[in-house]
Amino acid sequence: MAKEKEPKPEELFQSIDYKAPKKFWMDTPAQIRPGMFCWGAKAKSLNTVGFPNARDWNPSEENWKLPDNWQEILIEGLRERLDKYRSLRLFMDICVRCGACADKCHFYIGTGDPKNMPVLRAELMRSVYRKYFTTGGKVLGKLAGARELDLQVLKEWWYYFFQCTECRRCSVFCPYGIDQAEITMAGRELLNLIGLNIEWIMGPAANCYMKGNHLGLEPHTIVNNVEFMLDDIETLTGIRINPSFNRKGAEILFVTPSGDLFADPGTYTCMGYLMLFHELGLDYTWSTYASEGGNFGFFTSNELAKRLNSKIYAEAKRLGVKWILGGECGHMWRVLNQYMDTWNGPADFLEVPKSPITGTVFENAKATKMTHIIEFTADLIKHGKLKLDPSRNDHLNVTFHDSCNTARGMGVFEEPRYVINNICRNFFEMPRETIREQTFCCGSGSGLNAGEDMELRLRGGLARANAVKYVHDKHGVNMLANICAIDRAALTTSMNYWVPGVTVAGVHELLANALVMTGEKPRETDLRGEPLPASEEDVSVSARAVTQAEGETAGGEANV
Amino acid sequence: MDLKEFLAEKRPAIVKRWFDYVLETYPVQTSELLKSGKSRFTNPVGNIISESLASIFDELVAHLGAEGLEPGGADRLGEFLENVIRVRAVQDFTASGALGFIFSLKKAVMEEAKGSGSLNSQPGREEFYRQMMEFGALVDRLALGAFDFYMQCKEKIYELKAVEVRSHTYRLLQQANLLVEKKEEEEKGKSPSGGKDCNDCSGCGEDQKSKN
Repeated sequence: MAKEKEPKPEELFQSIDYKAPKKFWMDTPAQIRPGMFCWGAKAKSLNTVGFPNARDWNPSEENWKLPDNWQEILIEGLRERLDKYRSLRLFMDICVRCGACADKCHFYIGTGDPKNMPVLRAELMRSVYRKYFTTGGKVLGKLAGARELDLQVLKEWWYYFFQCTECRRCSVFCPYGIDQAEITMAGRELLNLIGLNIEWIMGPAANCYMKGNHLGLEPHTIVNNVEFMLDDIETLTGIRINPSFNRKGAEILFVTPSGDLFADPGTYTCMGYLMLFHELGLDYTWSTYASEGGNFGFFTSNELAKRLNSKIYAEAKRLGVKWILGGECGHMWRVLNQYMDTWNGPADFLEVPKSPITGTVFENAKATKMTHIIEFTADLIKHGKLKLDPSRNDHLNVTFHDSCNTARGMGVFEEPRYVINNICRNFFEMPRETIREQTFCCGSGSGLNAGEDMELRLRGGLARANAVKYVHDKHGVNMLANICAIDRAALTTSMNYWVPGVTVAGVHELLANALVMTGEKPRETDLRGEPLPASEEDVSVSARAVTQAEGETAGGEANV
Repeated sequence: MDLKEFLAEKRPAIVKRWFDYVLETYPVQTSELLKSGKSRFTNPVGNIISESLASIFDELVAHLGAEGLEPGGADRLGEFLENVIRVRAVQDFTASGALGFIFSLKKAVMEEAKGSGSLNSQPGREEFYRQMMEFGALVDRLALGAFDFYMQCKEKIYELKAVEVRSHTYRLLQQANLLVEKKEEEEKGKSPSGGKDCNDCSGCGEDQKSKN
């Protein structure tokens, strides 16, 4: 935490004024407040990926150690991006400041800082765009909403572009469809031209570049981590699972965020994958190189994101798999679903994903050849391929948080709910305006789930937590399910502060609780070692007619 | 007029004034959102503040003149207070800024009393002031309670940071054999507590020895 100068007693009394200042936003410079920002990217991390102006710097200090011609670099960078991305030029021009987006941002709702309104956050860049790229702005200056790009503006950019989680909730309400996430992405790309990123993003990105995953786990560590989980699974079920790593000729390559490998509660979700795949007898392999589905490069620049993403197809090719299955994650899926094919495709050496268990062809993944595990599992349940005992989750009253990227970026709404309704008997939705396409961000996405910006994260998480609190108070909800690794980490903390008594789990952890495995011993606890509620004699078998067990489903998609 | 009756009668006006004073601590654009009629889910901060203030006010009035807060009332008051403090403890306020709104309740009551002419009517004026002192003391107690909640929230934030670090690294430390399970210590009977009820592995040095 940045050390603030301690005020003298008389200064303290002078500062006791509870009224907020009434100034025009351009005349209100950003105050870099502790608790609201993340540490600056280190020289070591920037050097690893070959980013410019690599040096150690501290955002709370006056001198950010910028190159002399930083303005020129940024203006040219903006010019290049305006030419390259038609969307960015449109977003700079077409906003009519109707205000529809203003109160839709979880950060604005939580912080009350007007510069967290999406319209104003975009205006930080628009004002500079007007000054250097529009005649009106050049001539009329501030009157036309234009301003010089000076150091104060630069610091404001950095502060507020790292107070946006790129969740895109605002874009749902914009009549023009202006996507604030793209403006933030462009803003962060520009900042990276002069070495202004945060270490919580650059560290993992650099690790990913060198070792394949955010934490820099080496192959033996990954295998050992999985071994630990296998021990736990054996204790729980009496079954020893033997997954394969880097096995050539497997049918499926499985890629998941590395958070599932080492951090609770993601590890329980990972145990869920292992148990499910074992029960299915799936011909799949893990990769210790494509050991990260997440992509923090995406929070720096398109170019680095592309570099980090390339390992997935490269590994699929090396191992000779037919298609790729992906674990529960949020931003990982935005990258895979919307960018991977054009960045590193076409993956013409792969086949369109086809479930070997049900025969369903996932034609929605025709381009990328990569399917989300929640679609895969929902399809299994739909075809009655899993033996499930939902009473094992009777101690849980569950609600579901739609992750921003899978919800707004992919339209994955029904599949997780379908799975949850088959594995739990107590499911309660949060209010309509806080779920599905209107879902509120966890408050820590886009690389902001560090420790030093905890106040920011908690403010950003208020809107989501407030809806959880409602179902917690009304229905006794004690489990917040989701399909995102960052959610699992961030919401655990958020719940701890805002709604104590609610824990967080991936959907596949709950699935594994309910999954009746062949040859398993009677379960006494759930995956976390919590005693199960009094078990029921009769096991509810997912007994849906196997009408389309073989061959493709009508319409091609996971038909749930 | 009796203060309790006055507060009950003027409840909507006083609570509105109090809410307005709280809104003044936010930027103008934000206070517009906070006082908008939007639902508790799309405007959580505004709703939490307005609902909490109204409930706190009601509890205070209910207990004005009583010997002390009955246990149920204290719990309710604590809950309402906690709801609003939890929000302000993570917003852009100094400690005084976050909690100053408690005292503005006195101001809201006095302003309303001035406006209604209650302070001009003799002979009740003196009694009104006497009761006002009593009410002011209640508000002061509320502020002290608020300070406790505020500190709890701040401590919680630091605890959350520590827990996250532990959660991110626990499996790796476990795998690197850098963690000593409490169970093992118990079996060996080496811990200073004789292997019983010892949850503190930071003080005895046993961990360090076994690592080395």
